[in-house]
Amino acid sequence: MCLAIPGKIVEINGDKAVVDYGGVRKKASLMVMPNAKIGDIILVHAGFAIANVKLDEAKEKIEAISYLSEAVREEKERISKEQS
Amino acid sequence: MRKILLSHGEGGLATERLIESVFASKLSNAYLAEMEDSAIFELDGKKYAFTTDAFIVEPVFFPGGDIGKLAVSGVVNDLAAMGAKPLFFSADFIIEEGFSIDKLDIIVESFAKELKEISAVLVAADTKVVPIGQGGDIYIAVSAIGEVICEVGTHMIQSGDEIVISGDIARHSAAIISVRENIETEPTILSDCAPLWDLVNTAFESDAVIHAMRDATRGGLATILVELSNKSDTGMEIYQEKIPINPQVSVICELYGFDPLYLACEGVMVFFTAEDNAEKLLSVLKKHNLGKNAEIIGRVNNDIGVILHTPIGGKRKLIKLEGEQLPRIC
Amino acid sequence: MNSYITNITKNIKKLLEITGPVKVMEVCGTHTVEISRTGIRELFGNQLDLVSGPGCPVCVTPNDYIAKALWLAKSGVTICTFGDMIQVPVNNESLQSEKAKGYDVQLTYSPTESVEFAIDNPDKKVVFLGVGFETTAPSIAGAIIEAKKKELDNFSVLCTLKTIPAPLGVIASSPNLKIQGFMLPGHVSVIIGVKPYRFLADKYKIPAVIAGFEAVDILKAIETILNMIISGSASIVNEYKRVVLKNGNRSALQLINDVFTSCPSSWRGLGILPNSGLRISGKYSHFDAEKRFNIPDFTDIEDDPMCKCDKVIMGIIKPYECELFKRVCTPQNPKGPCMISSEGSCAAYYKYGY
Repeated sequence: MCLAIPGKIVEINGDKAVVDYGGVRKKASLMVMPNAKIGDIILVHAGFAIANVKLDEAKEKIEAISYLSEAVREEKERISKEQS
Repeated sequence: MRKILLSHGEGGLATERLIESVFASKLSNAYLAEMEDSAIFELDGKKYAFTTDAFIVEPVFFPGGDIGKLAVSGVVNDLAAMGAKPLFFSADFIIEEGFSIDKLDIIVESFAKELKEISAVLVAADTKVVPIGQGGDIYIAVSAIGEVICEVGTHMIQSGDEIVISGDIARHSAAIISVRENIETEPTILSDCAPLWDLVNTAFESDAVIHAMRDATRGGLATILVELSNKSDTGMEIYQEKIPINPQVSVICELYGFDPLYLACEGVMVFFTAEDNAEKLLSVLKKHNLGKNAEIIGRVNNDIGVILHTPIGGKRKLIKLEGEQLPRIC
Repeated sequence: MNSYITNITKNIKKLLEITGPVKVMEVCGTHTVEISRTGIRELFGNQLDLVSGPGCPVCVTPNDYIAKALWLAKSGVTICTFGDMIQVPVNNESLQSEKAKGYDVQLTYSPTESVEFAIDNPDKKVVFLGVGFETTAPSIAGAIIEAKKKELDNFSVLCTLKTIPAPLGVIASSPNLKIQGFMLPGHVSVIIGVKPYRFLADKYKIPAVIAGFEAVDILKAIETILNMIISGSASIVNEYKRVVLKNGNRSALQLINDVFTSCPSSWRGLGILPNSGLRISGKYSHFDAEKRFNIPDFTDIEDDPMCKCDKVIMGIIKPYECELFKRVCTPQNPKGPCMISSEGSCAAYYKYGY
């Protein structure tokens, strides 16, 4: 019903963000993510950011997620270091 | 009132049906019936391979190459897949009125450079111009003859054979998509387009026994595996985790909802080796600059169809690409 | 292979021995594709019957909408659409076949791109095909607001957005379906949150889990549903906490309520359901293609009588139980929407079916 993938905000101008999906960059609208800031990991569908991605779920579940983008993988490593 | 659709040009089932209904009925013969990458014929006791291909790519310049390099690579790889060393080429350049001659210069330059590198010779050429607006900048049609060095063919594929891929998949398509959709990638996704004769020749010099080869172009890896499985009347088991793919390429596939197994490569050869010969071939390929990402991706068996084993232990049947893959949201 | 995944898979097999065969509906078309693509459908044999639901926009879009889009294309309008829609045939015509005849059909990745296209081509009348569910609604609303801000005169949306709770009620209340658990659409839930599904557990006592789209998310959702079936408890569990909040995305909901109004909508296989669609509200009627063009009425177009997509969408039959499946109806020659959309269950079974 809705393909959406996570990426990291690397630039914001107005309500447009540049999102990095692990070495692939594309613009996305922040119209419904008013308090998004640089460095946030967000979920983007059809060029629209629709949610923040929080990675504080159970450690082993996150390990099992075949994350696509480097940006998210770094965040995942940071989280699992904190939790261990 | 049937019309030609873009999906007829994608190398999948739509293409096959068009060939069957319009071309095969009128032109079929023993050579064409083989449906191999090149036709094989004998002259004074020596075996030769002959093939032809046309190149239409938009844009004509893309990261990692241009239509000139692509035209030579595509035909060299069709000859190499039949174990033939490329010798003599012919080429037709169909150019659109208004196309920049400086750009044409660069394209012909890279066409010539690729030929020189494999010491092949262009023996016949022709240029035509079409009115502005009726041709995509430039199209190139190329034919070539090569001498068969090592006899291979789909008929030699048998149960127990191992399947080795020379490089990561879908990179050519991803490079084109990133330019067309002006997506910035870091590092830039370079098309894998490259002539593979030197790589294949190195493989022959190793003592790995090779039964068959096919370059994975239109329709992607999945389509050629299914084609070869049908033609050789064998089954195949493929392990998804073993299939090399560049991370940025898989991100582009996720963004647009494409399945990378069905996207075109232009510099990847799939080898079918005799049993227990894959490791030998792999070590040789990995030493070659076009084979660094080579992997053993599966085996041939006596079942029916190509089964993909997924990373979570699931299974799924691969089928041929139907029409064209379209960007989707759901 | 990841040990977390293998443990869940082993545990699901154990739970299935206790429950016996279980019928779970995955509402969302993207789940249908991922279940087939990752091979999950084959992992549990016929003990776990995963049934595709109405969550694929192409599948549920009725013929008259496609006919309207074709009529617009033929009257010289430039149609901007997601790739999903162009192969849907009505009377053997589709946007793809019309594109081949030279009519202007542009594929786009996002609604905002179609507004940019309208800005770059002031002489063209551009209509964006507004198809999708709550997940896509904000991006279409955003495009309309941007077009209004820029006072564009050559852009409008042919809107057939749908909302998911209403059809779930019909499916949950249907006596012959006997769905024992729902796998709820993860990205719709990002927008609407958890509350709108409460009635499934409270009124119909059917356990439901909001699931993500990775293999581990889908397996975790199946495990949670089975645990609820065994314990006899029915509730709505959010297993996609990394993106789904209890109240969803409030500013997205506000944007949707500003630009759209809830309305009855016609669903293939379900008929017309009240409060199951979104139409462009009066404030933005200048960007409603239905108002900008006097499009004829096409509601009399019948489905191919042999086509059983409506039963497949409702999960009453499996794709392979339809006589047309694979024999006549293939992705190359689709007879009904479930084969056209790569998300449709028939396309998923055809493409990935083992």
